[in-house]
Order: sequence, then structure tokens, then C-alpha cells
Amino acid sequence: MRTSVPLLVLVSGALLASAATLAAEEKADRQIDFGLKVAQKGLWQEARFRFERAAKADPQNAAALNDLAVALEQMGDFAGARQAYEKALELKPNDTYIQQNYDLFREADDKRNRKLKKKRPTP
Amino acid sequence: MTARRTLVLAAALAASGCSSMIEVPVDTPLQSKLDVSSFRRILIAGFVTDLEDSDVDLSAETSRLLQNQLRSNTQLQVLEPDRPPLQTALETALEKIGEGGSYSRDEKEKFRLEADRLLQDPEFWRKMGEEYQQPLIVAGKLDFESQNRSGFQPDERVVRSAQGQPSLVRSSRFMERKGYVLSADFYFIDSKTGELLHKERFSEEVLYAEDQRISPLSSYFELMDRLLPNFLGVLTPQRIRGTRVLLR
Repeated sequence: MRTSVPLLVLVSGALLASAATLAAEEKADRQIDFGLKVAQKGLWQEARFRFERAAKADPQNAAALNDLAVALEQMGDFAGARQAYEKALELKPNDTYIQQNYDLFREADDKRNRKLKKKRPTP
Repeated sequence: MTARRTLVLAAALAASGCSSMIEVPVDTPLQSKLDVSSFRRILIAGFVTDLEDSDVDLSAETSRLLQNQLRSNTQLQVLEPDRPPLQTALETALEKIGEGGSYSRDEKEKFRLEADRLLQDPEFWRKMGEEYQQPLIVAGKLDFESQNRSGFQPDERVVRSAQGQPSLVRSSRFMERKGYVLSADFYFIDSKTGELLHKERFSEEVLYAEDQRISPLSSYFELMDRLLPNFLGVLTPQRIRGTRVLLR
């Protein structure tokens, strides 16, 4: 009976932890769902806010980070977008969608950077 | 979305095992190559072309087309001289070189050198700037040539056997094709200093089947239509449009 008390504590702890993880994942999913809805309507500011909350609630959620990256890219925060894409790929290195988004982003970003390099200030 | 993209997306869906995805359009800004905020006016000074007879009056057509585009796509006041001023200078140079009409190879080379010298002469541009209230000047060199691209082209056909079994047969066949190439070197010059701010070369090509009857002027406009966004991208911000995938 004595040994079963710490075991009970351990099991309860594990259960609580997994319940918290589940709650965080659910919260993240709700934020992503709403983010997707508003993104489709072109409300990228709101979508970005939702994806940020999703990524904060569940930092291991690669979809949230991918979606956040797309929103940041759309809003012109290219450094932020790159960081979010790379984090998403770290979490899911074999996800073809994220990889495809990242490749397209890099292609566009290279184009932008080439333009900036060529740019010369007028006196 | 192209068929290839659709296939890639379908394959991606199968491979990633994602529950759902949404493809959304993205539209991101692309800065202009030149900051033209210090200029209020822009002058298309004219273009150097070779001395061959052409079905298209390249310099005049291009000057007019660029003026129209700049008027509708920029805030700059587009100056419209009766005659592009570079053309007048080039004609003066040509008079010194030889008689009008046909020119020898040496004379053409002399003209090309003189035209290059003018394009790179800060004093020439500064003087023009004084005359036109110091605009941003666009000038350059243009070349529009017909091309014969007839030759053997790879060909693929699906052939059915007597049993109805399809198979792909690869061969090559001779195709008569002609086309046009338009090359443009644009110079963007600060007429306050005569300094060259930016120089860029664009080239476009179009090919037609032999039976298509397309006039040189139509081809020229088709090629200019492709080239114009790149030209405008030097002076005005553009957008990069594409699609991305949102995941659930």
C-alpha cells in the first residue's frame, strides 16, 4: 500500500500533463481553424494573430508555424516568415507542404534580395 | 493552378498524411530598383537603333509606349518633347559620318561608337537636364530582329497497337518556325549630375509557326508587353503573386 501512493502521484501527474497537452493542442487547433477562416477572407492581420496564439499554445505544432509563416510572408515580414518556416520544418522535416511553401518563399525572397542589391541610391 | 502543381499537391497530401490543407493566394510587395522620389519629371530621351531598314520605327514606338505606361503607372510627370532629344543628337552624329541611305560597315561601326559615347557622356545628359528642368532620363539601345528557328523538334505521339494497347513513340520532325527577338538596354540617368543611376538589359523572344501571319509591329508589341513589367519594376514597386498552403 505504501509503494502505491508515489505510483498514484506519478500516474496522476502524467495524466494531468497529458490532459494539459491535449488542452493546449485543442486550443491551438481552435485558433488555427479560426485563422484559416479569416485568411481565406484575406484578413491576414487577424489570421496572423490567431496563428501566433496557436503556435504559442502548442509550440510543437508545425501546422501553426507554417500558417504563421504564410501570414507573415503575406504581410511583408520576410525575416519572420523565414524563421517560422524553418521552425516548422525542424518539427516536420518530411512535410512536403511545408517544404513546398518554404521553397516558393525562398524563390520569391531571392528575387526581392536581388532587386535590393541592384538598387542604387539617388544622390 | 497548372496540372503539374495539382499533381505535386496531391502527392504532397498523400505523403504528408495531413488532415486538411487550403491553398491561398499570396501577394507580396517587391520594391522598385530605383528610388525616384527625388525626381518630379521623367523624360524618354530616345533610343539608339542600328542603321538597318526596319518595319518598325523602334525608337519612336518605344518612346511613345513607355510614355503612356509611365503616365498611368507612376506619379512622375512625363515630359513629351516634339522629338526625342537623343534622336536629334544621333542624327547630327550621323550627318558627320556619311550620306543618308545606306552605310558601309565602317560607317555603322563609327555610328555605334559615337552612340555609345553619347550614352555615357555625363555632360551631354547634364545639358539635356538643364533644358528639361532636370528630369530622370531614360534612354538606351534597342534591337529588334527576325529569327529563323526552323529545325527538327522532338515529337511524342501515342500509338495504339492492333490490340488497342497504347504506347508512346518519340521521334523528331522538321518544323518551320520564325520569330522575333527584342533586346533593350535601358539607361536611367540623373540629369542633375549626368550620372548613370541604373542600366539594365532585357530580352524577349517570340516564335511562330510558318503558317501564322504576324506582322513585325504586332510581334514588337507582344514582346514589349512582356518586357514592360520589368521596365516598370525599376521605377515603381511591383507585387509578387503566388500561392501557399495553409495546414490544419
